[in-house]
Amino acid sequence: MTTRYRVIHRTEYAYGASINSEQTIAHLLPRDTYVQTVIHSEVMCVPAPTFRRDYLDAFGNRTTYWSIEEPHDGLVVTAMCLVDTEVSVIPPESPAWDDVAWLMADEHSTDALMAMLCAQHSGLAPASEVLASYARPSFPPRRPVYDAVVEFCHRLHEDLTFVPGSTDVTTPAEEVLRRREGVCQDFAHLAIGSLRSLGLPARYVSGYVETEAPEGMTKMVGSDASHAWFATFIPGWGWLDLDPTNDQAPPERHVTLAWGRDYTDVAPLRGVLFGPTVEQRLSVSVDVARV
Amino acid sequence: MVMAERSAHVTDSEPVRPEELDPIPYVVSAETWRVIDQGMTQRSVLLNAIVADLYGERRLVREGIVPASLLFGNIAYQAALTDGAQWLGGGHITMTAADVVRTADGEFRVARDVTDVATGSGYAALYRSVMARVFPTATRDLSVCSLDPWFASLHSSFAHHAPVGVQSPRTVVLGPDDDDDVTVEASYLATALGFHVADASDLVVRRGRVWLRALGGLEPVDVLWRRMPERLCDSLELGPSPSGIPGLLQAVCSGSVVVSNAFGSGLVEGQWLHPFLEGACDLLLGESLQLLSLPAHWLGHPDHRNTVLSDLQRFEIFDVTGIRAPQIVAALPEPEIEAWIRLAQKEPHRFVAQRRPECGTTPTVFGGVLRPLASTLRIQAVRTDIGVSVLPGGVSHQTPAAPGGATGLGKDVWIVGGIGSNRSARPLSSVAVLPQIDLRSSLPTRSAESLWWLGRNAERAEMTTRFARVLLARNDVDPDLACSSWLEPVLAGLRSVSGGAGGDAVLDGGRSEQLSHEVALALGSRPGARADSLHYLLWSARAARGFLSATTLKVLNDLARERATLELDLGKQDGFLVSESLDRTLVELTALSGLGIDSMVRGPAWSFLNIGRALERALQSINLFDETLTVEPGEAEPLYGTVLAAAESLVAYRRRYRSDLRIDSVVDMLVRDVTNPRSVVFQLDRIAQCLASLPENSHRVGLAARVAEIRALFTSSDEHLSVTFSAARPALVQLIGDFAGMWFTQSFTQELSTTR
Repeated sequence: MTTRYRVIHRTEYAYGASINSEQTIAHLLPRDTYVQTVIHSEVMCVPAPTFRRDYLDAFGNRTTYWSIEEPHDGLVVTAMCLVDTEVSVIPPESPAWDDVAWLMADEHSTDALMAMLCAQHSGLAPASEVLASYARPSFPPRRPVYDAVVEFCHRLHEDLTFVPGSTDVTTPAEEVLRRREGVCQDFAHLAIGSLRSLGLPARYVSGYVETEAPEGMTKMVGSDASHAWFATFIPGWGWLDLDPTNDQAPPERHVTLAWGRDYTDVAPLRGVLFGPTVEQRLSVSVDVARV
Repeated sequence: MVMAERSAHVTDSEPVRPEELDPIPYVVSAETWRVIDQGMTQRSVLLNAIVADLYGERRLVREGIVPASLLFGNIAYQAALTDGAQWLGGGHITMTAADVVRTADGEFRVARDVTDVATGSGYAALYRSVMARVFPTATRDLSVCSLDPWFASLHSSFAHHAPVGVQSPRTVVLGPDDDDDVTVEASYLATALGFHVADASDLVVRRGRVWLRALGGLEPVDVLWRRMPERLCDSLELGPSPSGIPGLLQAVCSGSVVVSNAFGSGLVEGQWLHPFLEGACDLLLGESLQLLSLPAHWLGHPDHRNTVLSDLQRFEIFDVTGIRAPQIVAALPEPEIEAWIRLAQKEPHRFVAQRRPECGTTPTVFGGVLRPLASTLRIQAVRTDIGVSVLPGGVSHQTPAAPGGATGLGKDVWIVGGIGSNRSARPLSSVAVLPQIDLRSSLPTRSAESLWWLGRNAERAEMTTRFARVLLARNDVDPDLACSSWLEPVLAGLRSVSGGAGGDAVLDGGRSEQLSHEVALALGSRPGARADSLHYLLWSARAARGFLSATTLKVLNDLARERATLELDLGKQDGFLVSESLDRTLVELTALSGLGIDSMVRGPAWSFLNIGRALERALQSINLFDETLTVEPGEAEPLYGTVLAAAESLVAYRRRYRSDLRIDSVVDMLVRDVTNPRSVVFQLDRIAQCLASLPENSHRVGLAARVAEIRALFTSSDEHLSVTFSAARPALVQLIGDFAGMWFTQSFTQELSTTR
């Protein structure tokens, strides 16, 4: 069954003073996936860029670089897209989690190479002994990896409370675990760091979830901003997405933008501003509707 | 001599690392060298192929030759470069270097590959120039292989690697600001090859291109010769960096600029690939590796791990994550060894172990005696349009301990016995003519500013030095000087030209103490005083070194030394030594001024230096004359005599007027005379001339008009001199500020950046 979504994502920065120029890298255009087809997508900004370049980054994400080379005191970025999504399938069977490391090393596919990359530490999702012991109860020896990660995802959802504003983009996973609260991005980083601590591959996925629930369904958590979840690689099958914030594996009513090792690789907007040091005030609105 | 040669490229008072040159060269026969030459050539091709593969197809990983965890967990791995346009579009490790040791069995082995910023060739050229001067006959009689053809190849490689469609690429050297060693070398090579050395703040990315900030606006750059580590080059994508040029990688990927060595080159630096190089050579080149590395083991492999752990003292351990510095674990205290072994068993994939070589030694003059010291050769190779060219020679580091410890003695490497082979085998490739930045019409903004400050500080240093010298000389011949009534205005004048405030120097002691105290202050390091001016003079000269002649740089170097000498002499309170030192400083400052006239091409660079000088001289003259020529003199003769001497006009006065010192004539000579290069009006005329020769600029005409207004104050006013001065001084101060604001502000905007 195909569902079509329209996403309007508006980001507004007020600098409070005039800056001379800026350069920005944006990950705001959705990519095609096994279950997602992009019908239309665009990203626009005001003031208009002096130079713009659209390309695929190292992870195959659609990336936009632009520079604005005239004085300005704010920036409005509007990203719009129309995508068709299918319901994800689940792997009919999966290998024991403790075989994943060598199985992926043996499999020479592009997906497996990405898995090798995503099994390494990264800045926001480092592996650690603390995270490993948190994850271990879900991973007894020889348990099929699918069963293990789904249960682990469920446990994360039970253990953590979704509290908007309780953390920022730099809060480390161990800190999130100690406080037992955070936003979707923290749920994802904690999951990724934990899997990596066991030697398993895990990547960060950014995107959106449906804003208003259709009749008879519950409203999704994390729907009024951009959303994030994680994925792990199942050798011989591929990447499996899991959303610990909404306890969905695989996620439903989601639109995928981009993926990487952690938030840093896929930040919606990242840039350098030139001019006086400014306090940036940010406001974001996201609307995801069925059409 | 090395210091002199070297300091011609850095002029600063900071002590530089003593990289001493051993008088005994490292001699290699042409026959032996051929092995290294061929091995390095293959290695350069191989390392290029490996980088292209690891950031592209990754066959080496897929085929299991290079472990994925070692690659992806590597601190040098930059995900942003994966599948990057630049490697697909033919980016290269243009220059590679390797540290090579000769093992006990006589074989040459690579201890380390240097690919990010391949340093060493500048030192090779520097050492050779010194050795050729010390042993002119030896280098000739032994037919020591010349390095010149290699540098010609290096030069032509930049034309070869230019972006597609660019016929005459403009090449700029991107040097780090803080690394003295690399700076010396970058500046040495840039001077030899005729490229401009910029630092990151001179360059900016706009419209997807790299530009050099110049007076005439932004000048496009086609080739950037990077002497800065890649992780510092672009804070937008290559990692946090306080310097760097945000957007540089984007410009590279847009194809508008070629960076050399290409981004990604740093991946294969070091030792971490050594356990896999033979396999990689086999897979990627279909050849066997000629120049082998020192035996190395990856601890992720259980057998190799056991080999290393059972014999730890024979290995140096490298951590690819960069968390732990390279170390000989066996040399650590016992508990730390145990902790490391636990770590190595838990995360073995992080570590590569290299067998410590029993290095061959060569006789070296060390601590005054001849001793056998371990040698490590730094070999250089460059990719050109006609293949890889290996520098026939280089530098050998002599270390008392194992290689890796960088400091020690350096040797020049001589390849001998190769007549008719090495020399003629590689013809000098034709060097393309590369028009660089046209310095007749344009100038990098930061260089313009540095030259302007250089002029101003040179003038200020000269003024205070001469004034102090004149006073000390008077004191020597006139023991009653301290009691003279005219001394008060003179000391006020001295304070006003050396950054002192009125009254801050009054002592309780007699006037004699006050005199020497004030002279010491004027020579000291308070802002505006002599030592302070010299400091900024040397600092600005360093930033503008690309525009100064070799002789000028040597004079600056002498000045730096003299600055230190005088500080010592002042401490000893020995008037004679101080006077001597002041005399030498004065000669050097005068030489600097003369070189400015005689050895600089007339263009914007010259104009900025001169405007700086003239502005400062006009301002300091007004400061001095306002204290001395506007007061009622007690004794006219000594007061005016001192002022004329301080303004270097006493002899000229005597010759012209052949009379007593009369205030009208003195003022005429020092203020209004259009032929006296020390007069105030002369400075204003000089500024007007230089302004007229600068590139068109919307504010230029306005500035010229203001200079004319100030000049009119002196030539057409009947007011008392003090009234004229009090009108002219603020106008001049304002002019100096506006001049800087107008021409140089561009260079400040880059400094403030906020990341999001």
